[in-house]
Amino acid sequence: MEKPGAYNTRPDLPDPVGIGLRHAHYADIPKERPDVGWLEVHPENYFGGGINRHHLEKSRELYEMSFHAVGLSLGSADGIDLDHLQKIKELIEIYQPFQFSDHASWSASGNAHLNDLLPLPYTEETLSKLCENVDRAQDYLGMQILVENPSTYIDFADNEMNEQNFMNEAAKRTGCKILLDINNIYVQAHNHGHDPYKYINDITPKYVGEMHLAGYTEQPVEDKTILIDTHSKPVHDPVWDLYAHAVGHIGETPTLIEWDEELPPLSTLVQEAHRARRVMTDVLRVAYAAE
Amino acid sequence: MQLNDIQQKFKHQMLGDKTALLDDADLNGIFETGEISLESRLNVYRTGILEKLKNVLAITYPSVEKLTGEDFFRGAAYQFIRQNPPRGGDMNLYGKEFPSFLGALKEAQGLPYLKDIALYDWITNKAYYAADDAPVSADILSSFTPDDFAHLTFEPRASLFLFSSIYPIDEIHDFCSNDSGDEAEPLDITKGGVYMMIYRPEYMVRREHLTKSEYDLLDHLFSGQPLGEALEEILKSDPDFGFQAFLSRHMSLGTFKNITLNTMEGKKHESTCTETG
Repeated sequence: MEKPGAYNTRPDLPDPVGIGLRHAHYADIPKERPDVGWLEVHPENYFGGGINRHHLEKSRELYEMSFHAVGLSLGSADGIDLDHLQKIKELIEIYQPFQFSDHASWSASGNAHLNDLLPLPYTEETLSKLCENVDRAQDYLGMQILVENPSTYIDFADNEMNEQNFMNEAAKRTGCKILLDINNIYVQAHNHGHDPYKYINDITPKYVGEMHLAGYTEQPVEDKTILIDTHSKPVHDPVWDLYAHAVGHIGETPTLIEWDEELPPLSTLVQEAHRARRVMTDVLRVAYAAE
Repeated sequence: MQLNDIQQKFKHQMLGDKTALLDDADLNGIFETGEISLESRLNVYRTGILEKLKNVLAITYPSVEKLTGEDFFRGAAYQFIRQNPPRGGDMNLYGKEFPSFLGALKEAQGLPYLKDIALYDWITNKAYYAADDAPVSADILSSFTPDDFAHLTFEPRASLFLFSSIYPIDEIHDFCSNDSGDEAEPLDITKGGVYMMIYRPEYMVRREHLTKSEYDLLDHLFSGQPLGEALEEILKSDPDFGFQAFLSRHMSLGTFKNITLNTMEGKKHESTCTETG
């Protein structure tokens, strides 16, 4: 049975494209007030007090914000860390992001948190565990959350479903939304030999609440190439093409330019965001004209 | 195989000896390998995990990385991470045990002050991320009678830590922070130690040098001792200690979060003598 999104509180954004708020741009953003609709932050960077929160406040006064967590470990068999969840809840209450997301991956097992987004086998057991953790997070935070499809570099032998069906089913069972990372789809399609366009076509459009775009890095391995989701480059052309296809399939969706390593000047991020806006506008214009 | 077993084995492969993978038939049966070997694919994750955590440690311990160099730091960090992986997802406070680890590291014995500079970095990091608070106003002092003073207890700011070392850690830290490219003065580690408090009055972490008596009095006070008892002990070893000047200085610096009559506060103290022994 499909669970409705009981906590859907997202307002209509005046502009669907956003960029990340990162340390290197703390001073630039209030000064330059870039032409984007919203900012994304990793809430874990604002645990505790200090100057980071001061900068967050300055930017929050000017922009809508989304919180994109990296540490909840929603796919952990051990469940989620309530202390971590409480710290996030405290920040949500203060800064009132329009949405909150984390990943369909795991980081913690036993007494270790590996600080990375690790792959899940797509089985009924994993789906049940992920849904249990998502339900717990949504109930604790009192809001609908979004769950992002991961980048993976390894595939499991005992998968019982493909990733897109896993994501659809998680959204259907919990009422969460999918954060569709277009770069991740492209990266793992390359790494595992899948069809990224089929992946997009299989995603149920109504479940998608946000999209991500980022740049990958090519890593030579054994005379082959693995694509690594490094968030350190401009969005590659094949990913822009896939994004246009995703917008055509899903419709207007808040879209983030992710860039976390080797950060460029703020103007470069804004140019990438404007390109996303142009792609979205062009695709939707054609779609409306065809109706 | 159950999800819990898969995650435990995966974790083991990430943090354990690389050769262990080849003997683990269970793990080899879990994955599809395709044209690229399982070991190469797992190594993408292994390198990612270790490098990201190494980078977390490098942000927290910049002086250590500067003193030891990138290659040594990476080797020490990888070894530390395998033995002491994070327990939770708050990376701002990962690596508390790194100073002790470095102090015991055989390869670092040529840098006897390494543990202390690491502890200095750690305390600075803790002050940076400590909860925001405000200093108690000096007006509170006028609410106490002269007889009350012996019974006052002092609560430190959330970001405040006492620090001592037999090495000139302040100069070593400044040496490490010198990115100007100028030729730095050679370090003289025999010139004597330091007593300091490290705290964040508002947004920037600061250090203040203390006399030995000043350090000891703050240490006693932050252990919860009432002022009268604490001061009596200081005056035994330093009869000329000037309490009025001490109080005036620390009210001005914003050292105290609160001053109360007849309440006990928990101990809040870190020094190289007691923390890393």
